[in-house]
This record gives sequence, C-alpha cells and structure tokens, in this order.
Amino acid sequence: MYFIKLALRNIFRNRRRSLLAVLSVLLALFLMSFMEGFLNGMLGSFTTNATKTDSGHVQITTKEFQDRLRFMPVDANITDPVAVVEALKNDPVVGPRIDLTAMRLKFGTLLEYNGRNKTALGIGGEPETEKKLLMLDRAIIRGKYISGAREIVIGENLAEDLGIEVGAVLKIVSATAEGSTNMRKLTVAGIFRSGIDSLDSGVFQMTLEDAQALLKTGGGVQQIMVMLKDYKQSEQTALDILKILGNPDLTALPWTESNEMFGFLSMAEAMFISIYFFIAILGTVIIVNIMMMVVLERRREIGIMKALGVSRREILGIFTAEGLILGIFGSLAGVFLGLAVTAVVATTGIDLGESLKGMNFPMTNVIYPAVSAMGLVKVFVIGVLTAGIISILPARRAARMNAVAAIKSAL
Amino acid sequence: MKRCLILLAIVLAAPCIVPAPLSALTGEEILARMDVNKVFTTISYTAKMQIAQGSVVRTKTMKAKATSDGKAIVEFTNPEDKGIKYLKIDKNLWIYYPEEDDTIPISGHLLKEGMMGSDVSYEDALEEDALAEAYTIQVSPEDASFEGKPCYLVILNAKKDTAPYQTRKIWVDKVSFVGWKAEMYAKSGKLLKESVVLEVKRIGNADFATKVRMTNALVPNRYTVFEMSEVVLNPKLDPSIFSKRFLSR
Repeated sequence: MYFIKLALRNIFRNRRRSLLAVLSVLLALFLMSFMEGFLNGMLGSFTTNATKTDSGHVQITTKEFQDRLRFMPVDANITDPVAVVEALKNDPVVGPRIDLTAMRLKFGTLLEYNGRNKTALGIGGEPETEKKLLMLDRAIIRGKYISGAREIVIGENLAEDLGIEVGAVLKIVSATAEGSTNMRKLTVAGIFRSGIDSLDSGVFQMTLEDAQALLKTGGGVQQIMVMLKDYKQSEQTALDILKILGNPDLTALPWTESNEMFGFLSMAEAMFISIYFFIAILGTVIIVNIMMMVVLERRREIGIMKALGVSRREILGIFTAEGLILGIFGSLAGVFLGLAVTAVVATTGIDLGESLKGMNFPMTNVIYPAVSAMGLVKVFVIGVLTAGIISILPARRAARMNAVAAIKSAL
Repeated sequence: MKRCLILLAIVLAAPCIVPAPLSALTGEEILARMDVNKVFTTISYTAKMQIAQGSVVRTKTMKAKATSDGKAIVEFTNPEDKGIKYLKIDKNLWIYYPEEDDTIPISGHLLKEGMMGSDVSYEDALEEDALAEAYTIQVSPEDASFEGKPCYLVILNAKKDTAPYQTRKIWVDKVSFVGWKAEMYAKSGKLLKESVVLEVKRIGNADFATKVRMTNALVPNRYTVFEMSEVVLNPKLDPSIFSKRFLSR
C-alpha cells in the first residue's frame, strides 16, 4: 500500500496541479448534484400538480369520454357519480386506500364581459374538495374563494385580459350535453395567482352544481378523481375499482395511463439522465487531460522509478491511486458545494417565469430544488468511480513507458 | 352561393329565380342570379335541423323571420333549447338565453363554433353576406354537372387570410341557378365541409332549396340536415322584432 502514500505525496508536492484537477472534478460534481436537486424539485412539482389538477391517482370516466378525451366532451358523462363514489368508499379493499374523491367537469367555454370575450377552461368541482386538490383557495390574491352557487374564481391573467375585477358578473357560454349551447351568469368571487401559467391565463373554477346546470348534464360528471393514501397503489387500485364498477361503459385508469403528462415526465427523466451523462463525460475528459498532463510532465520521474526497479503494476497503482484520491477530494467538495447552493436556492426558488409562459404544463413557474441523501450519494459514487476508472488510462501509459526512453525524452 | 339569407337558411338553402337562358356569365353574375334578395322583402318559415354525430342524431326545430336587408330572428322550439333566440342584424349576431334573460354577442372565437352544435359555423352564416368582398370569383371553363344536371362550377379564392375558407367551389345549376353543391377547402387544400341540396321547392316565383345537408369532411359520420317548411314570402313583419329589446319578450 506504499503507493497510496506515494500518490498522496505526489498530490501535495504539486499543489497547483492537484488543485486544478480537484477543481475540475468539483465543478462537474457540483453541476451534477445541483442538477439532481433542480430536476427533483421540477419533477416533484410536476407530478403533484399533474395528479391533483388533472387525473388524480386513479381516474374514473366513461369509455366514450376517454375515446374523445382531446375534445373534453360534455356529453359522455358518468350518470350517477354519487353512487359510484359511495360504492368505492364502502368497499373493504379499495375504501381504506382512498384519501379523497372528487367529481369534476372540465369544459372549453367562452367568457364574455362588457363586449370582451376570451376562451377559457372551466373546472366545475366541489369547493371544499378542491381546496385539497386544485388548492386555488391558497392562491387567492383578491377577493375570496368560492363560498356558494353562482360564484367563480378566475386566474389573474385571464381576469386582466377580460378587464374584470372581483364582483364582476361574467357571462359564460358553453356547449351542453344536449348538443346545444347555454349561458350562465356568474359573479367573480376571487382572483387567483397559482404560479402555473396555464391556470392563471386560461382557467376559472365554479361549483359542480353550476357547471352541471350550465352544461345540462343532469347530475352527471365527466370524471371521478380518486386520490390514494399511497400513489404507488394506483395501478392495482384501478384494477380493483374496475371490478367494483362492474359497468362495461366505465373505465378506471391509473395516473400513469390517464395523465398525458406522464409521458412528459418519462421524457424529462430521460433528458435528465442524458444531461447527467454529458456532464459526467465532461468531467471525465477534464480528469483524463489532467492526468495525461501529469504523466507527461513526470516522464523523467517515471523513468527513474522504473530504473530503480518499481514494477509496472506498482506504477499503475500509484497513478490510479492519485486519480482516485483527486476524484474523492473533488467529488466530496463538489457534492458539498452542490448541497449548499441547492439548500440556499431551495429557500428562494428559481423563477422560470417568462420561459414557462404559454406552456400548458401543470408546473409552478418557481422551481424549488429538492435534495435527497440518496441522490447525493449517487452523484458522489459516480464522481469517484469515474475519476478512478478514468485514471487507469494515463496510469497504464505511465506503466508501459520504457525507462531509458522516458528519461531521455524528458531531458 | 348567395347573399343575405336567414341564419341557417342563409347558408343552407339556396333559392333562385328561374332565369332566361344566358350565356357566358361571369362568376359575379352567376352569384347574383342566386341572390334571394330579389324574390322577397320579408320571409318567415319553420325549420328542422338534424345534427348527426356518429350514431346520435339530435333534432332541433325553430321558427324564423327575416328581411332581405340582412335582419333575421330565429327562435328555437325544441324542448332542450326552447326560447333560445338568435338575432342577426347585418353582420352582428346575438344569442338570447331565456334562463338568464340575457344576450351574448357572437364574436371572436365563438364565430368558429357550430351553431347549436351543428356543422354550420356562425362565421358561415355571416360570411354569406359578403362572398364577393372576401373572395375572387372565377368560373371554371370545364364542363361541370351535379347528378346529371349541367352546372357552372364557380370557384372562390380567399382574398385575405381572415376568410374562413381558402377556397369554395359551388356547383350552380345552369338552368335553375340552384347552388346544388358547395365544397369548402382549407389553405392546405384539404376539404373541410360539403353542402348538398337535397330538395328544391317552387315557392312564389323562385326555386328554394328547402332541404340541405352540410357534411363535416374532417369528422366521419358527422353532418347536419336543415329542412325548411311553411315558407311564407313577404309576410308583414313588425320591424321592432329585429331588436335586442324584443328578444326578452
């Protein structure tokens, strides 16, 4: 093990060169650990919002609704949603898994106010339940949340486009389940700012009863969202719910199938791995470069070591250990720096503001990076292993050098 | 196709005067021959609209009154839409909803929507008043026919991007000047809609297309059949019925 001592001595002998190598690894690892935190935060926000605003962990709809999902049909409804919810809650297997259920209607509509009009997405739901899902009550910036019939809350940007304030009476026009159009006048109870651009710019919420009256659904709803205590049970629960429903016209889908955003989530994860890989390669190239430089600079020394009888294997060991030690130092420092920066940014958040404008993502504009212990360990291990394995290349070159040629070439 | 009819009838029914034989007519002249303005100053009728979406067919009934100078009022009489009224004054449209006792103007995005869920958009209804303004009109030199009847094939190309269709083709009967068939195309050349006259009746001194089918070419099994009945030409109409104030009565 004397070559570890030698490696350490070599590292401290040329501190500037070693510092450069450590800094290179540090930079790569810092980027990786920060990226880990950032994407954790982004994907976490994305998953939570996607299930709460859109699909739930399990979504119950009619099959016809699923077939025409893109058009958000208002004439393909679950006709007796209350009975369905009761059946689920009373089931001895599924009932205990349920955190909450929500009945919803979502529909394209036209809002009109004083001659101005704008298309928007209306969401009809039970206000008390939606406080736990859409949570728009927490995002009210003016006025109040819905407290009863004929009231709506509306996104800040949408309200601005229509030139309305709290108390304004909007005319809401939509296609009905009967194939005609209907209009309902509702009062703006509050204006919300959720931070999700697609919500703030194009969504308003009303009571389920108002939505049912506007769309003439006769008590029907498009979807029943089931939120579970453990979302990992969504696939099994969807199968169990199908058995309980026993209705060939209805379907129950886990969020991984019903939520269009799940595909995006998988894509984002793949993108994350690619970026990770790219940064790792970048760090690797830097380490290889520096180690090569070290080997070339120390040709004379290698030649003398070989002349004194140091074996190829020992030289390989010395240089590999040197790379590994530099990797450990760099990785430790990089991970700690990443952790520190992420912790600071996690309190303030990163405002993506303008860049998310117009995008229909259920994601807040402000991303709060989230670091996990496992994530940091993973980044550290990748850093050390990469540095160690990559050091073998220049170390092998050093080990294979001819003693006389090495001394001569350095003169 | 023609100018200034009455909401749905404006688009779907194509009345015409039986003309004297003419030759080498221009596109503008052919469209003018189809113009309903020349056969009445006021009109009233009842109508039935069948909207087919796959296996579901919804039926709507209505009563309509109109003038030849671009005013029309339509009141729906089927139970689901009872009391809903459409008011058209020149290029402005309003819908009156009895449950809220209020009106909404049809403008902006709503113009693209199908009237009462049909395949006829509000834009279609309004545009018919100004085909010559929005399109360049040509007559195809090739022989055209519809179900064996010799026709002029009138081709309209949009002058501006704001026109709802890039191209419209209309098969106009060379004898009766009924616009038997019309096709509406997108900029890409894709067929969007097709209307076909299913029935023509002689009313007064004009041939009225009283039954027309509008097919949505983008959605399979989706079409609207509009059928007029009890057509009365030149009835006495109180001018005040064509006002927003009258809607709530």
